[in-house]
Amino acid sequence: MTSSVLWRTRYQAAMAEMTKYTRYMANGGLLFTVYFVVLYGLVVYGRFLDQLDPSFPGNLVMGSLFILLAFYRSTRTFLTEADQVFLLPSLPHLAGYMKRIRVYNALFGMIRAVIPFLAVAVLYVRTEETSPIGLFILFVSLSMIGAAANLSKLEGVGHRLVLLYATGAGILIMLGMGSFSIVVTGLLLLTLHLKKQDQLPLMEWIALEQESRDRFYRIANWFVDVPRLSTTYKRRRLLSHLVEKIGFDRNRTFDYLYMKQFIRSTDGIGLIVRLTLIGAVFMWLGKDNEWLVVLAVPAFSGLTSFQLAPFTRAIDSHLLTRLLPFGDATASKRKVLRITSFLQVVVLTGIGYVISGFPTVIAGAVLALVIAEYYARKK
Amino acid sequence: MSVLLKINELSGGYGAKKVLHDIKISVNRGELVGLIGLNGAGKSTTIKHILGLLPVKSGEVLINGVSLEQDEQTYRKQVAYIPEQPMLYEQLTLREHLRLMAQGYAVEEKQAQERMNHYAERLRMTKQLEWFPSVFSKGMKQKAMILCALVTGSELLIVDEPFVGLDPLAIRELLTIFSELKADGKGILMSTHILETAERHCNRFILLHEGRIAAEGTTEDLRNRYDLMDGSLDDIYVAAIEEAER
Repeated sequence: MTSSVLWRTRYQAAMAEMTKYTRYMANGGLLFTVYFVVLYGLVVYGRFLDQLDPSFPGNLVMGSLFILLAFYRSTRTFLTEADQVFLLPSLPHLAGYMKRIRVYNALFGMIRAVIPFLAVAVLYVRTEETSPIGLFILFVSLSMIGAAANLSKLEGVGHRLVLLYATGAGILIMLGMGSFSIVVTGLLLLTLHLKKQDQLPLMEWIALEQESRDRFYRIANWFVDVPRLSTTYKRRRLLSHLVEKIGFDRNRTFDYLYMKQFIRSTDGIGLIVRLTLIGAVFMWLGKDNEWLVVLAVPAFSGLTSFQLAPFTRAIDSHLLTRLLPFGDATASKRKVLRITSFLQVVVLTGIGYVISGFPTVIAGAVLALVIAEYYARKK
Repeated sequence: MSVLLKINELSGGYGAKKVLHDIKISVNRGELVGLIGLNGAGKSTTIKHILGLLPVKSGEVLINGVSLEQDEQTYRKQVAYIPEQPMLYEQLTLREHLRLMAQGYAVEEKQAQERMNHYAERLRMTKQLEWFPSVFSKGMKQKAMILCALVTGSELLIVDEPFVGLDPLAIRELLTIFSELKADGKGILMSTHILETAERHCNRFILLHEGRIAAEGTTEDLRNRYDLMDGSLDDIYVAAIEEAER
């Protein structure tokens, strides 16, 4: 198989798969909460910018963006597990395929930088003296960081290298020497070019593709059922020990199973903690506006409930689950969702009240509980 | 000997595709019955019907006289399953799997703990009780599935290719456990391709071919039927398939 044929078939298949799931997600109707939170975020940010003091350290934010962007690396290689057998004879002739994969991932990394850059640029131009060319240089530098982050993963180069260069570029921006950041990012890309692999590292690239697909499927799984979704779990000894206290009663079988899933999955307790913290930051940014604080509670609680709703899917479709004679899976799932949503609403309401002092935040809490109940009852 | 599993005139399969045609199978208490046949003969489909994973088109499947439709909880409580492909929860350790299975099958906590420790030790899995399945070898996963089934203490054990991936010591121990379960009055239906082992340990055989029972009985019954007085189960198997295809 030639490089160009392999690239064409794999790329088209991957895009078809992504389009399919994206269509399901867009048709889901459950996007409402996501739209709501995005709109809420835009309003809060807009108000924040309107009230921005010109002495605000915009260069610090822009410099931090350079470092933050370097933390995220995601690569597609479009290879599958079966390739370790069927692609083996063609391996020495796949230089063209490798080149296309590099270009794709570099472009993808650069595109990823656009929205964060635009978001920070509107803040940066209000606080720093800069020219359109200066701003353009910053964008090119940032997009090169995005590209380098992806390429480093592809070439098996340590993440530390990218973080080091990105920190260097970020510090230059913080010191007001943003134009020189392009030299640093250029050097980074040059280093990666020199370290590029000659032969396709089949196993590593298959693993990278699997990791990337899993990430996409995890998001798609919020909206639609994704079969064979693999995920990572953490032991969480202390919480796990608490779950062990659930009574050894046949009717509580699914309480035990779902609670273990909840505490160990990144889509469970990790999700709640992340969204609660983000919600707290949003409330702090909009603390002068009563409605923004009040609506933050249902927005972030709703977003959590919406993402949490499918957390039992991996278990429900499992063979062992289907064989268990006793226990009420639906009741247990609802119980877990209700308890966790209630606790999150209490925390968010408490934070909202402490930050703003508006007692109307209680109204937001009531709305949040109604939304949580809707998702708990949803099959 | 009382009948534990009774399958009467069962027809079934996947959707509109009919795989099984009016099969009749029974497993008595204290019996290990070998379910043998070529790939695609209908062994796994039969097992899925017994487990209630596929809807019955016609006929009935009874465990201790109870069908799934009559009383699902009682039916399910009486049957445990060891699948060919180990399927474990990635988020649970082995000990947690065993607790879950025991709890879900309404086993008393103390008894569950005893069974857990007893069988884990015999299958050399005590050290692995706190491990997650992601670090298990293929054989360990298979042993974990076996432990999950054994901890339930169910009357009927449905076993699909249990020896795949097991080391020789584990195979020997598992066969000893099967003998003990039989002596304890439990019944086992085991699908396998390892005929030499099956010949030595199964009380009876059911040979499936293209969704129908091609032959059944003890080794002696089958030797007489195919006129292979010194033949092994391998020879009988080949003769039975050839006859069925004629």
